[in-house]
Amino acid sequence: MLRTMELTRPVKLSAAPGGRTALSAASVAVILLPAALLALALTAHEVLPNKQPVLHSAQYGYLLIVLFGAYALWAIFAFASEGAFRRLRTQAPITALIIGIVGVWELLTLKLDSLPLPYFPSPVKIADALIDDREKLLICTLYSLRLLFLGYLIGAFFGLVTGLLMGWYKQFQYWINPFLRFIGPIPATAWIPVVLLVFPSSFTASLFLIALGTWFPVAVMTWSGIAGVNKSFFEVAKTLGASERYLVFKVAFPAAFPLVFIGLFMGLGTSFVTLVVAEMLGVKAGLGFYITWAQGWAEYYKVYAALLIMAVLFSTIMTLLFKARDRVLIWQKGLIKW
Amino acid sequence: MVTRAQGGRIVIQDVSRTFEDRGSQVVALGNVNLDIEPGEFISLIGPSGCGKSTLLRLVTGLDRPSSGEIRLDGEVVRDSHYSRGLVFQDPTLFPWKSIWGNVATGLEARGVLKERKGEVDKFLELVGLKGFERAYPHQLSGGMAQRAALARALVNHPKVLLLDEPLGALDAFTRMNLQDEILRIWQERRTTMIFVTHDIDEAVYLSDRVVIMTPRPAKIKEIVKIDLPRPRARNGGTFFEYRSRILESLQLAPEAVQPEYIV
Repeated sequence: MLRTMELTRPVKLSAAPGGRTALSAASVAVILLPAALLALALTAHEVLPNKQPVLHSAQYGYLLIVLFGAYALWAIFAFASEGAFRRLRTQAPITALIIGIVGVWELLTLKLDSLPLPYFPSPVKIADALIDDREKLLICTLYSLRLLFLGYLIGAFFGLVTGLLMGWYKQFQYWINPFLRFIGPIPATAWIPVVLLVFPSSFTASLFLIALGTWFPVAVMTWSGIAGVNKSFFEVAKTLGASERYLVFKVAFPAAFPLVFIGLFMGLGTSFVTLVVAEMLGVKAGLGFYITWAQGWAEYYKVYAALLIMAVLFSTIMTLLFKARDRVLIWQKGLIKW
Repeated sequence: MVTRAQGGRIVIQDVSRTFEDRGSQVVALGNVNLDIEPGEFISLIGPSGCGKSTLLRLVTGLDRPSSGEIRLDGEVVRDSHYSRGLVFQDPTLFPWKSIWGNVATGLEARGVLKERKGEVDKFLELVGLKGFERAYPHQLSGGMAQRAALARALVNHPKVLLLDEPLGALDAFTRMNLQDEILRIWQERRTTMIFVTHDIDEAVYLSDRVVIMTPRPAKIKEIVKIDLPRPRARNGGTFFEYRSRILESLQLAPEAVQPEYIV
């Protein structure tokens, strides 16, 4: 019999006596909580006087109104279907917490001026940076993305090739293994002084560092993935008429992919680190550069703005990698959800 | 239905296989001679260590004899080839491929999938897996997975199908069910079958000849021709006679059975 795919169990809701799930007073209260907090934050923002200088206080207020509207729309549409309602009910508490944190943060900084400036600016001040410095931030973001993608793709490609060759050919493993073992564990960023000497520009130097940092985990995981493939798969494939090419690309590689993915994931994490450090030390553009530059002027609100962009950017890239994984590894049981 | 495949003739001549184990030679198979007719159903039976799986691997070409040679239709077996299909006890389906993809592997590997896509569906139907094309191996039961493995081996129209305890891991009912399926497929296609098993009933039920092998030294002890018409009854008198004869040959039957009566 076909076993049905296992799904994560939805959070159980208290069932109303009529059998219809959920419209209990408690869940309605939970759903209203984020809206109430947003309204409270907006009121506090508009009514209490600012004790720190900010430029775009009004725009920040509009942002809170937009968020309030968005949440209201979400809540209205959630009543259309039971699935959407359950999702909202699950997401409401954490949404409320985040709104609460940002609200308290504004209260402590802008409204009460109780945290030292310039180190702990208000969210409104960070919004100032995002608005006033948007062109510069956009350019820096694009520079970072270019460096990250080129470096990551080059590193992942060579990592895959190295791992594949090491897993498949004993000879290759013999000659490469010592280098991989000794050079691989060195953090790529430790090479910065040497690399800046050897490469003609700081861009190519950073590219090399990101590629190097990505290369190591991808190579190691691909190698161990390929070396660990069940030998029976190869035997069956051989009796079915498979050539060596087929064995490598259509048997060994897909069988090793769960481990290869872990390598790609680890490599991506390393590439973020390397990117930011490389930009802070050598490159004259990019988010890492922007952070050091802003720090030099003691404009910490700009540092936080760049950190915020990084958080959104890197977590989106990670999500994309996991989405790609889910598509490729659709055959695997019990995937870890990102 | 599926086009008829012609079974191949296997000649095993003076074949032995020794392995080196910490400097000493271990005989895994000693001087085996066996002629298998085209379209014949042969079972290899014997306790573990008797070399039956070794012999099977030699016939597939995954391993080579230390001396002697194996011929398929006159040609010496040197390497694995799609004319000699293999099914293991563990179905070893490729977990990253759908059932359809698994069955299509042989055609894909040989680069003929485009022209012969229809055959994949035919073989899936032949083993009773129609409707499960898009399922993945982890969603199938053991019996169904083994059916898929069978279809995957058959899609290349092998002249010889080698089965290494293919039903060993299945429960008794699924097992009997699949025995009948294998017989039906064999009778329809007349592929030469070499079936390794440790189940005497299974060997008698399926085979034209049962090859009894013994360990130390690993070799053929006796070949029993099963002269029973098909379909065979699993409980007929002659069936039991064959059964006890094989048991005796394997020295598993008690020497003098004293009937016991409880009064």
